[in-house]
Amino acid sequence: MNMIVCCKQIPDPEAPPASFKIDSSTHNVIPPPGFPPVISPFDLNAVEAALRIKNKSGGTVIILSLGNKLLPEIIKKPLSMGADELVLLEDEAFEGGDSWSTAHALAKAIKTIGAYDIIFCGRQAADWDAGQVGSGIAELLEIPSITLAKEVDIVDGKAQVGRVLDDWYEVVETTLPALITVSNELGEPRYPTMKGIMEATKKQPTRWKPADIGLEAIKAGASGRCTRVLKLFQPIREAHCEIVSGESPDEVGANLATRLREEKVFKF
Amino acid sequence: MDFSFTEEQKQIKALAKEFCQREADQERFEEIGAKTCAARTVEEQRAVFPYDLLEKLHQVGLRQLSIPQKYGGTAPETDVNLTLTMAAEEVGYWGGAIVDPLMIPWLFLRGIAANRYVTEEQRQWIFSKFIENPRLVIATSVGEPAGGTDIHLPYDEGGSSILQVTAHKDGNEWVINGDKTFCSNGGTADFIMLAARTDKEAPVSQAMTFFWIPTNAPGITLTPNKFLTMEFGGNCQTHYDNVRVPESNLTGEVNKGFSIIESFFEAHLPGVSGSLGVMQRIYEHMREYAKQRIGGGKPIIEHTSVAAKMGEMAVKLEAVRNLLYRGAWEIDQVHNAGGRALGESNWFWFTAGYAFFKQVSFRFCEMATDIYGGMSASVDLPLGEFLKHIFYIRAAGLTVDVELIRACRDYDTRYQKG
Repeated sequence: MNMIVCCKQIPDPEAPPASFKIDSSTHNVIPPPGFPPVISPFDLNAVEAALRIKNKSGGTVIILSLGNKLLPEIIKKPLSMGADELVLLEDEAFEGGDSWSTAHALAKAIKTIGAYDIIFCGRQAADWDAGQVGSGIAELLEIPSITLAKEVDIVDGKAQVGRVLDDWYEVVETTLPALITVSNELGEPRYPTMKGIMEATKKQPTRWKPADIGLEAIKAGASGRCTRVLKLFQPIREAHCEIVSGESPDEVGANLATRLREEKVFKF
Repeated sequence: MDFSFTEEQKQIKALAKEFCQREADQERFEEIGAKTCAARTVEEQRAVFPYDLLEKLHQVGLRQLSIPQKYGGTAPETDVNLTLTMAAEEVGYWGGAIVDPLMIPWLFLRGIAANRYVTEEQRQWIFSKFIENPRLVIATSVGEPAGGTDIHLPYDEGGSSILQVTAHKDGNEWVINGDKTFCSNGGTADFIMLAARTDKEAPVSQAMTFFWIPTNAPGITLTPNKFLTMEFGGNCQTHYDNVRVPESNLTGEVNKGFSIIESFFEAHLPGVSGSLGVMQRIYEHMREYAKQRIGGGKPIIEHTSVAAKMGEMAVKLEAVRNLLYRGAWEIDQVHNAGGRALGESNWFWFTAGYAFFKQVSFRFCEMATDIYGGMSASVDLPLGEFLKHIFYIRAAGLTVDVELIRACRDYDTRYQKG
């Protein structure tokens, strides 16, 4: 089973919201100082899904990542968890892309890698939360796409995928090759191990620029965007505290109910 | 000067953080700590020891981080002391008490890996036991009723009055007799690494030998010490009454035990860098407290006296960190070059780092008490537990005075040599 997992390096979503800043002129998020970037947590769920299949049925897991100035100690984490190879689309030309240009570049890279049975992606990247890239890759490669997986089994050469829905889940089956996006309901990703870290440190990733995957520079990164960010801002949340008073507990309660009704918290 | 970590060290740091974020259960740790302190028997201490945590630490490879790879461990090929010092700080910061079960194996097995008198066969003997059994706990025991620092320094003038636990050869076995006051991890240990006198007359530096003693050996009695606070492994008084161990349990050469103590010391810096991580976390908690606590009509951090204390703490934290990391780095340089680390000059790096941490941590708690005010004694704030912890380790290893004497002597030697 040949598996490819798409992983994205993002600013740490666990960093305090106040530590993020926005460059309003370029519509870019300025990474919080003092908080190293991480791999998008949903992508690590995707890595875990691939490694479970590898452990059960054998195969290889290739990690594919797009960006610029990727940090080895971050982007190699899936190797430390047990993945086999790392392919980086790393070039200034890949910066500033949207879901379309990212999916387009990743699809080109996957074609360049060649043989694959399953492509795994996180359900969405935890920085922009667009959730478009996985389905976009499947569309460009003309293969089936199943989203929001919470479990993946390989049965008789087909993938059986449990999908997370609002109040229940469904199990669907697909022929391979296919693309599967994975949700956090799959369970916690395994830890890297010291043995994995030592092996990962010695491994050199394959690095490709746009030309290496047959991608015209005009279609990469910001140049290849189909969408444009018009405004990027941090919502301002204000909290006001009002002390409701009264002569007796009953009166305080009555006054509180009145205030809540005035603020339309209650509709009766 | 390059203070940056390698790619491998950064990944180890990230692993330590992730592991602690997912596994640290402070309520459980507090319960274990309280029950370990209250225990009157080693059976009670073993009943609450977090063996499950030990197994998880083993699965990710952190438990065996000080054991060289050729023995099945996960120690980096170079810069082992710096890596351990860095990892301990990270575990201390994110995991608090998780650092407890790691320290004895990190420090003492590193010492065994580095010591020139320990044979390959002896290393294989203990490392294989440790690697094959993820629940195996080891302990160390040196201090006695008649002398602790005397043994470590040593004051050779004391002759045979120092180090009174004896070992003598009987056929193919060694026979151990005597009493030890302290035994770190003794409450839960499978093996105790014991310092015993093997020459009746010689000064302690020429009369000490280390042995691995199984805690289920006939003739050994373990009694928990009653301390204010304690590591998970428990600390015991131990009594040896004709305890017999085979020759294979010997570590290093007979009467060369003081060299092994030196190797332990040179690997000891992670022992306080874990506490430095805890101290850093308290500092950050305190900074937020000072921003929110209103006094005199404004956040107390806006008062000059409080801001100055925060500044002093920040400077001291960074000074300790630099001294510990520099010491670990200096020792690694000698190891990386294939030499033995501890000579006269390297005593400076161990003793200076330890003594400075002990001094700074007490001053840190004093200033933190001023900032937290009446709340500093609250069990809901982290200061009280930390204060007990640094009180507990204040005399660990050596007393501060002796550490400073050694540091001073070796500092002079270092610069006289240029």
